[in-house]
Amino acid sequence: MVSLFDPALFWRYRHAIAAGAAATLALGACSVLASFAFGLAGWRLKTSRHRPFAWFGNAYVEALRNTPDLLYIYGLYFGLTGVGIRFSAFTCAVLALGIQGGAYVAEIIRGAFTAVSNEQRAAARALSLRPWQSLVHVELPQMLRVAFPALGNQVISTLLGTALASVIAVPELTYQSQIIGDSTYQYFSVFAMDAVIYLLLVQILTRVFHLIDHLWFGKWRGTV
Amino acid sequence: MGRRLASWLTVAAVVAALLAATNLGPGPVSGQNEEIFAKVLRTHVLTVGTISGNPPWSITKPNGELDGYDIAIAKLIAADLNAKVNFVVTSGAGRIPALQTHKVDIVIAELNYTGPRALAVAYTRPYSNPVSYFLVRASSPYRTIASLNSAQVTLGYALGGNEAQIWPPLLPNAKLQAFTTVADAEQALLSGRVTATGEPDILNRQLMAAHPGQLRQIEQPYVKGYVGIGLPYGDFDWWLWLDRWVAYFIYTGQNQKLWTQYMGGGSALISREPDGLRERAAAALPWGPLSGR
Repeated sequence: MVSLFDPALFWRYRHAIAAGAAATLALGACSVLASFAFGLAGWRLKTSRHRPFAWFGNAYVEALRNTPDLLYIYGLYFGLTGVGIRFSAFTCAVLALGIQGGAYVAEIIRGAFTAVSNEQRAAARALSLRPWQSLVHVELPQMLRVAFPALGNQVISTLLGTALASVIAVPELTYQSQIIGDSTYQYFSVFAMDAVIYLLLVQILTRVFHLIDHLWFGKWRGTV
Repeated sequence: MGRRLASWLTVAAVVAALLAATNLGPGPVSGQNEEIFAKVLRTHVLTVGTISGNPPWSITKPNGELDGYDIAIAKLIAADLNAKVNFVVTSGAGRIPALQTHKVDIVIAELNYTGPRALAVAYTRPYSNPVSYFLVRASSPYRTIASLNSAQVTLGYALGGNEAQIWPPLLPNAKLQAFTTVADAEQALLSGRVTATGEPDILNRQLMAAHPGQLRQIEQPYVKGYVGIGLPYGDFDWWLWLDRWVAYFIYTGQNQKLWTQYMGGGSALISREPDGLRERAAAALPWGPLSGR
């Protein structure tokens, strides 16, 4: 009779599990890059002096922050074929997670820029720095220091969100686990392993973020 | 250093909790709950696992109530046990874990017998034999089961079914793509994401009616199902009572009456195999006497 936990299962399906973990990392990395691109665009639109652009940026951020990822995953995968556009399941997942994550990134960037005081900008102007010089040399370093922890959390959130891509058969870790569970009825074994792998991936990411934060921003922590 | 140690200890504790929660003991599920029958008789509550969105076996009506062939059977069983029925709606893939963890007393959800599945949960004798066919888009060039055996073909199925066990030996060259629900697999077919899906002819007919001119059934059955009531291993009295109940349910004609009511005709139990099915099943099924393995 089938037992609830079978440690031998991991060895038997090690290739599928490893492939799933690799796909999760690839999907997570692409989705994070996409979310940063969408986030920067969203932030630029939202803070634009032109009202229609600002309105569009606001609408993007609010609409995407108040609706679930799954909706976009389904919409892009099944819906776009209706208008003749056909992306792969992987691309649909990257776009869906990227578009949604972008709304959060836009808000993180906006919030971080707000944290840079106007005196800093005035001081840059007093030193005859051009606007782009002020942005690169004065505002960005301070803004990044504020935004970095929140961006780190967003990266982790996006990585964990990749599990949703299993619904459109992207062969990432959760999908592979479902397939293994479906064929062996060892759901608890595979999902326990799933949890451990996700936990390890997130722990590694967290350590990397802490290290970067310590090396780049450590000496300035608490100054903004 | 202290903080780092504390965080690693937290991680280790979470991992340990997860592993503990999954019951590290390698023993079988059997024996963990030996008194389901007694519990149902004592509490007058029968907890039934089912799936929704699987017409006409089980559907959710606009008022939120469940209805369908399986639902009607569950209500009859509960009435004979003098119990109130408590439905737990799960996904296709959630049916076996629900039994393994004793979240439900029985599963009545078009649960087909398969050899690997029977190692995880117990079954009563079958109460219906739905025959499954492949469904393709109407414009598709595929007309026979053999024509689907191509690397260009992607077969979509819902997790929790027996397709992942049946299809690879039957169509070794075709690719398989799993979806979370039957509805997702159907949507994948309609949107051209997969070449074919496979479901009982009743469901296929409903889908074709819902999307006129878009879908076509390949008129060669690929498997005859053996749908029984699923229950956890470990309570012989419970299995015996249910199995006898199903036997009497069939014998009195109640089963056929419900089948006709919900399926619109045909026989719940088929004694004769559709043409060619036995040969295909013998070649495809990786278990049981038909396979000869």
